[in-house]
Amino acid sequence: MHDLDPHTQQINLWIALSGFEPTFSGTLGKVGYGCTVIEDEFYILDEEGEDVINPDLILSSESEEHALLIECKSLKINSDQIQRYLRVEGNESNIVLQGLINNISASDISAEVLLSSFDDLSGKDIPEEISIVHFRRDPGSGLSVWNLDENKIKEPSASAVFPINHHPNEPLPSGHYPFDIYESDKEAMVSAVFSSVISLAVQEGEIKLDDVLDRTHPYWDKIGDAKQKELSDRVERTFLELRKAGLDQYLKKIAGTNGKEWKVVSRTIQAVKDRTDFYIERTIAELPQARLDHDAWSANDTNDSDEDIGVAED
Amino acid sequence: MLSAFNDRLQNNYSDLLEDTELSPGENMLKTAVVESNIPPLEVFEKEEVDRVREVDQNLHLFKWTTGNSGSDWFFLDTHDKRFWIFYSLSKSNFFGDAMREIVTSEGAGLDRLWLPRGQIERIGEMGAYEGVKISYGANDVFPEEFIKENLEFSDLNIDGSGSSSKNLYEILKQTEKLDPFLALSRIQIRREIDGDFVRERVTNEGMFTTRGGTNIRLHISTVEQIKEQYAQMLNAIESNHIIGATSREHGARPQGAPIIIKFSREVHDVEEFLSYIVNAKNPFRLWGHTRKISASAYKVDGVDMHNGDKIAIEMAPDWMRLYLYDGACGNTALRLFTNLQQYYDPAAELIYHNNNSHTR
Repeated sequence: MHDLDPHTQQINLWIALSGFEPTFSGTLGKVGYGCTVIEDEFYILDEEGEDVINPDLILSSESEEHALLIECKSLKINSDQIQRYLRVEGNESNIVLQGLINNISASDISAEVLLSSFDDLSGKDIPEEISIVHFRRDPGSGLSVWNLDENKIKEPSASAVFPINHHPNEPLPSGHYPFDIYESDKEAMVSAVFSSVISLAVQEGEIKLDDVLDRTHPYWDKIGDAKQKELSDRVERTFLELRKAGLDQYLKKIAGTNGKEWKVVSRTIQAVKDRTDFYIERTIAELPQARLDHDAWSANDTNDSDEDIGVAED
Repeated sequence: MLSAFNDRLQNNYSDLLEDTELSPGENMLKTAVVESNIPPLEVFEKEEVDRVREVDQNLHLFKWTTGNSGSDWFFLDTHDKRFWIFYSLSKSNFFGDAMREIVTSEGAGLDRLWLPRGQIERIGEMGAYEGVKISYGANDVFPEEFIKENLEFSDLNIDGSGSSSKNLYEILKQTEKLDPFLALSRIQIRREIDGDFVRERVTNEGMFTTRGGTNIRLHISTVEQIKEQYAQMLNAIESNHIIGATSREHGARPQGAPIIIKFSREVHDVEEFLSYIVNAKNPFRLWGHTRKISASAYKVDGVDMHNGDKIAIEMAPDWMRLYLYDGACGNTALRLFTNLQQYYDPAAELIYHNNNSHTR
């Protein structure tokens, strides 16, 4: 069974909770919350000095003039980070003035920091000013999402949507933010790159790295520079490994049809289908461990560094 | 064009009324609505087209040569750039072959309409029923063993005609064990407005055969109305269900939500089910990598090989979440849904967001 990393899964869950999700829960969306920012930072500057705040997401409600600054956590809590988050209170206008939210005025906005986790944060002595939402998965009872009593969400309409329960047989939404740079996301990443490459071969006839990136991850070029580079390196390396595993010959055949010769495409995609699991497993095996500070992902570190990434004949 | 079609319409009707067969060369008017993502003139560059006459900027007459059914003429109305309308007075086998060739030869550029059961029923409400056709074909997709374990019917074909066909359809729908297998593939109606009438046969692929009438404008209005209903559905899907992210001054804003296909009967073995759907074969033409993501749920990262759209599917025993990614066409969702109705579960529902209401 292959799951996403808990951090990546949480990003997907918060997007789903603020959207249209009849098979999960769009309850925050129904009470007016929309997801406005993913993975960016803003500054707090006051008499105590300057701090950088980078929540994973901001959910905001125009009608309640309120923002939830959401940090998706594991069990590890950084006390410096908590101290920085406590400084949001009294400096909420910065969220608007620095352009993170534009549908609420700087003078009217209220905000709170919310930590979410698949791990139990209840014993971590987190100040009550910071809200905590716990995602708990149980093979028997499914996913339950609840707001800890000691760290209640302050805005009543958002607080009222919890708890949320999700049936155990039903998959959690994972298609919004398809993967991140974590080891557990590797299969999701390879699978997403693979389908992007086949899609481009059918539709475009040529495959450029930027197009693979655009088609593989909707957020890759809209988040911080460091993460962009990490994602780009991983996608490039994955594409290279898929080709090395033998996909190249089929990509060229599909690309040559311009999507108009179903008989040729059909024969070719049948051959790819028979080897899909092999390509995925082989590629995963060839990829480095997914450590954040690892430079092994660079496609230029492989023996094929001088090989053109595209299959197009220029 | 309208005058010629009108004469044919009236002649067809009197022939059918008096002789129950058409005079030689008096083929019925046939019409097809096609969803387009290419500039109108591109189709005229095909080698199968040997003559083109421009009637006006958005109306052309052209001759198409098929592989096996000879040549004949079409009028092509491209006033609506997204939905083109092809008209022809050709024989039905030529028309069917030519339309299939026109649509498939353009790869991702052209597609037929994919009218789900609910849409065909709405067409039925436009007039009085004169016929219904049920074509359920699980045995075209699933092996005998799967059908034996999961379905009461391997196939079901019912062709009812006449004014009692509405009663027939209603009785079939009220039959608990039959209703989930009523894959409505065609309907015939008689539509009357202001003393004029038209008799239409409409398939779930957006193909019309006009079996007679008194005023061609009533046919045109029928086609336009069905086209408009379909366009609204497609527009709602494309406005609300294309997954992506919009750049902002800081970060990005998520866009779109998955579309839901809710089954009327539980899929006992999701992995096996997907192996027949995501196998790169007709009729679904879906390719992808399937992986288990929870005890009985699976995820597919794949491609709709009809047009190359990248998709993802998350499937539980009761439903399927379909993610269409940036650049995808809404017709991809309607094609998958209509095919699932035709070959597995005609009572399945499509749940999508339609501005402030959720439509099934």
